Amino acid sequence: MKPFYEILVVGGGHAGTEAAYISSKMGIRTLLITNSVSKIGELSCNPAIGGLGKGHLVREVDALGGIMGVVADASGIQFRLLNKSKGPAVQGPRTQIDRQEYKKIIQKKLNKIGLLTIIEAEVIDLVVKDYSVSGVILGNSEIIYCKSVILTTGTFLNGKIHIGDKSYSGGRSEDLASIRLANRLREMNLPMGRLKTGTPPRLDSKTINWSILEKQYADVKPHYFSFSTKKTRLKQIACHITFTNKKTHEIIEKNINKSSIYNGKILSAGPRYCPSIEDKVIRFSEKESHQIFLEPEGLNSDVIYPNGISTSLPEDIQEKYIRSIKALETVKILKLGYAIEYDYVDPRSLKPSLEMKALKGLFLAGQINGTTGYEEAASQGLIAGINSVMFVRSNEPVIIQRDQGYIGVLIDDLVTRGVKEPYRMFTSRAEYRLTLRADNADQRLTQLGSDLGTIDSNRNNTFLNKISKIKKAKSLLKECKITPSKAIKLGLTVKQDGKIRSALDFISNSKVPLKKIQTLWPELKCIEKSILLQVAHDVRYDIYIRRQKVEIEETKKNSRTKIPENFDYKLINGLSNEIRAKLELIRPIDLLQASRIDGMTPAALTLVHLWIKKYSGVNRDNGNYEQHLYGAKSSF
Amino acid sequence: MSATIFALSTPPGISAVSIIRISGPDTFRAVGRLLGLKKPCKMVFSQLRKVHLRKIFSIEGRLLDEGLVILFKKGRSFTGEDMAELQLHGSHIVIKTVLESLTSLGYARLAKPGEFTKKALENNRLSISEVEGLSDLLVAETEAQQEQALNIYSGSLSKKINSWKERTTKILSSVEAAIDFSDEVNSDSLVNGVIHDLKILETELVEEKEGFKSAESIRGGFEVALVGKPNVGKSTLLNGLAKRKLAITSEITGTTRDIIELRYNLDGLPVTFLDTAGVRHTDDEVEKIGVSNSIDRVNNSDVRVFLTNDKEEIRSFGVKYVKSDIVLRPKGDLPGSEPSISGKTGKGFEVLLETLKKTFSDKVRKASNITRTRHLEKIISCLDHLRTIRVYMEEKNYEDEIIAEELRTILRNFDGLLGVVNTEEILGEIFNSFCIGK
Repeated sequence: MKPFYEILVVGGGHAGTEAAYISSKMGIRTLLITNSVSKIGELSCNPAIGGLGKGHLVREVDALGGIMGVVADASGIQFRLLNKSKGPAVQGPRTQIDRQEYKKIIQKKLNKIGLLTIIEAEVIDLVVKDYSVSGVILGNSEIIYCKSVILTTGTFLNGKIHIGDKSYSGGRSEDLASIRLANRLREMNLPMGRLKTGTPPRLDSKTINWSILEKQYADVKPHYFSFSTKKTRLKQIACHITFTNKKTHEIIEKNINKSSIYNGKILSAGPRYCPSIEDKVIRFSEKESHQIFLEPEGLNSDVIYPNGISTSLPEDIQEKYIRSIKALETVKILKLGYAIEYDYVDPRSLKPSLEMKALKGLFLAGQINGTTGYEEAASQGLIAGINSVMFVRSNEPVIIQRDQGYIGVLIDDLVTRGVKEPYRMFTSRAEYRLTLRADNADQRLTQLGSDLGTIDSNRNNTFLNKISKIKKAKSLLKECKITPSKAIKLGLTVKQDGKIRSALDFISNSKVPLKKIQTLWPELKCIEKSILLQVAHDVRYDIYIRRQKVEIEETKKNSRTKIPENFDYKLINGLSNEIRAKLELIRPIDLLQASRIDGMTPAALTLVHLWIKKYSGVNRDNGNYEQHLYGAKSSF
Repeated sequence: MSATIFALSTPPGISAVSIIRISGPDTFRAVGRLLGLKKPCKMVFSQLRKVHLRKIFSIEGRLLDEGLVILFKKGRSFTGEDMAELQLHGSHIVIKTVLESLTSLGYARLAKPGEFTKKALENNRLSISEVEGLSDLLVAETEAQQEQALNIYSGSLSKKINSWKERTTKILSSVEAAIDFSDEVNSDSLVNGVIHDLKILETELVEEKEGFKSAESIRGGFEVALVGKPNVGKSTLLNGLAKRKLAITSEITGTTRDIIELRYNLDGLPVTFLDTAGVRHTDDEVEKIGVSNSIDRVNNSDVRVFLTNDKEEIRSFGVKYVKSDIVLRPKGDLPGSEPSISGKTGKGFEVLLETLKKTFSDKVRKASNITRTRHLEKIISCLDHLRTIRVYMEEKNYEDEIIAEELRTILRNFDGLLGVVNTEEILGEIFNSFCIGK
């Protein structure tokens, strides 16, 4: 019997909403099951989206037809482009978010989709038969059948909240943890581990002495996430900056043993790059002060999120150290900071499609895979959603390559290298960073979105229009030529080498203002400013990108060598047990992925390569040599 | 598309026949040019797998040699691609000019070691037994041997590369921090922070590069210096070796003022025998220069053959004397102690040549480790990138991500040296155990 819902999404966070949105948009009847319908799209931690690397992810999600970019734009209250002083490749769009607005808009959008149904229930088990998932069991024992399940349980799997020496089970500050499901997953022998993350106390805006603090304003010209956003919807606000001081550090040091991370209550790894204030004080004891951004949670909210001081100290100490900080002397804590430990599934047990290797039709996305961050979750949710649809339709999965997008980097890192701490995106993780810019996410991924049917024709046409404008602008710029001596006369800095240069050459140089180019060549005035800027960004890294292209080609040559899915690594003499075990666990799809496995040696990789070549050679000869090569026992 | 490659497939040096192989999509086009044809004409294509006697020309149309040309069509060749074999006269100048002509075509390049075999493997042209042979080398043997085969670099060299890598990683990480944590890291202080490390790295790489230069020079050929007092019979010995009058020999002391060279083909190894000016004290100004030149050449030679009756006398020559040098009693046709040698009768020639051959073969094996050239290439490339960074920083005209990109390229070069990332490269390493052109 055909199940009514083809895809079930468990969880209504950023991975779950993205997955449910895209699968239903692609025409598949989808059911989203969440513990709390009213909390769909909740920003559980800081009220901001984007940043370095993260902003890149959101733009890619948007280029592929995802929901996060559009909603973040509509609820953004402080758009800021980070790293403005650096080149376009490492600039990241970011905005403060009105938490209530974000939730409201995303819920409205999901409710509008005909093929998507949302229910409130706890999922306690999966229906599994023949290593294939075919439904879920709810808390009331009801069974819902389906073809594919996407698990996006966030920090809820066996979540445990710690504040000082107190700890209790919970998935978020006021929400229940999913214990029964976590236990079932453990019983299924999925490789699981435990991670930790934390959140700072929330402060009452009315009790902060704002007037004495330094302000940080929104950009005059906002950079949006979505390629379709045209204007800012909400009022823009400023954030304020304050700092910890010697006294703050003394208080924390004196009470360090009361912190859950230091009193032995928490043993799991937290993110090194987003340390709690306890970690900052102890590990970087030479630093006398740490920066704190006071971020409003919304236009009509009195809640302030103090970014930079997550903690698991007990209540009285939290209050004491917070009140030692400038402008917070009389502050009222609305909600305590806490650390949370939760179960995650070793992402190396996933295929690059985010489907579990061991359980057909089961996809995982978000923090359950060991990541942290809304943007990382949304990216995985989107890909899990798309690939769940592909699975239901018996199509090949969609895999974004490392040279195609940060999403590709993220997923490949997860499934190949696994995680040792909550995984967050950085631009330094992308080896093709100069190619993968936030500004060209549409150029990299719109085609794919259009092929998949995840972006509408309107959007595609706008994109094609933009591309043709860029092309025209480029050829116009190329036609405007000038000799070095004339260029110098006109005030352009250039080598006196007699080489005739075009306007295109000049705009690749960040030091030459685009306006000046248009003044020197009035025929360029017809080019829209945004298009001219895009061309400038595109040509900016030309020589590096060309070099990288050669590398990408070479790497692709490498990756073409696929490793047969059932390849028996035991056949290879001379592989160390450790490496064999890793290969058997990760089952890389090609040599390229194999090469990125932790601890992989050149010798081992070469052996694998040679044996695959041998294997394909046997195939060619119709297996005549099989026995000769492998002896009587052969698994090929 | 795959590259068109070429290489000398026979050992370098003087021989009756030398074979140059060409493989790849542009093979016939290249051969056409060498045969002086305007276009690769029909005749060439219709005569596959037949032997043709043809004149070979340079790109400018200069006649280089006459030799046999054999063409193989794609799918029916060793590599599986279009292929050609040129059988030429085995002379240095012919080989050099033909290879240069091929290079100057622009669409073909010199093959890397083992690249022909690699192409054959990639195109599934190696029979299963051949693949077996190859994998025997790697698979069937003990793990220790495998490791040895793949661990081309001596421990000390990989240690060095690792230390460069560490240094580069350290520099890169501060640049990356300035990018990804720009809130917390001040990028203006970056330059001062890394410039010192960059300088150290550059110095070390330059040293390494210089070191390789001298190692490379060995490969040009080997030099054997004949050393002895005047009139001890060095020139007679040289003449005996050349089997023709090459040096002036006479009974008058000090006749051989200049260094006389005899190029000798020692079973394929290029060896130059040097007949040096007699090593002795002299007041004659011209002869003094001759003596001092002699000493330099002698010291730089790969092996010295001392012609003396008395080992103790060697020290008085004032030249280098190492374990692998050879000491022989001159005028071996006259009775006396052994081993001896005689230019007149040829006595002792066999033993001398055998000994030299053994010494040089050992050296060849070590020096022809092609990875060393690759090594040098990568180091030079790293130095280029380092210089680019320095220029950017000095001109204060840079963006962090560009500096990072240059540093990443340097790191990839080091990784390539250690064979950490690229299996193609690793496979390449293995194929290095084959010679170029195989």
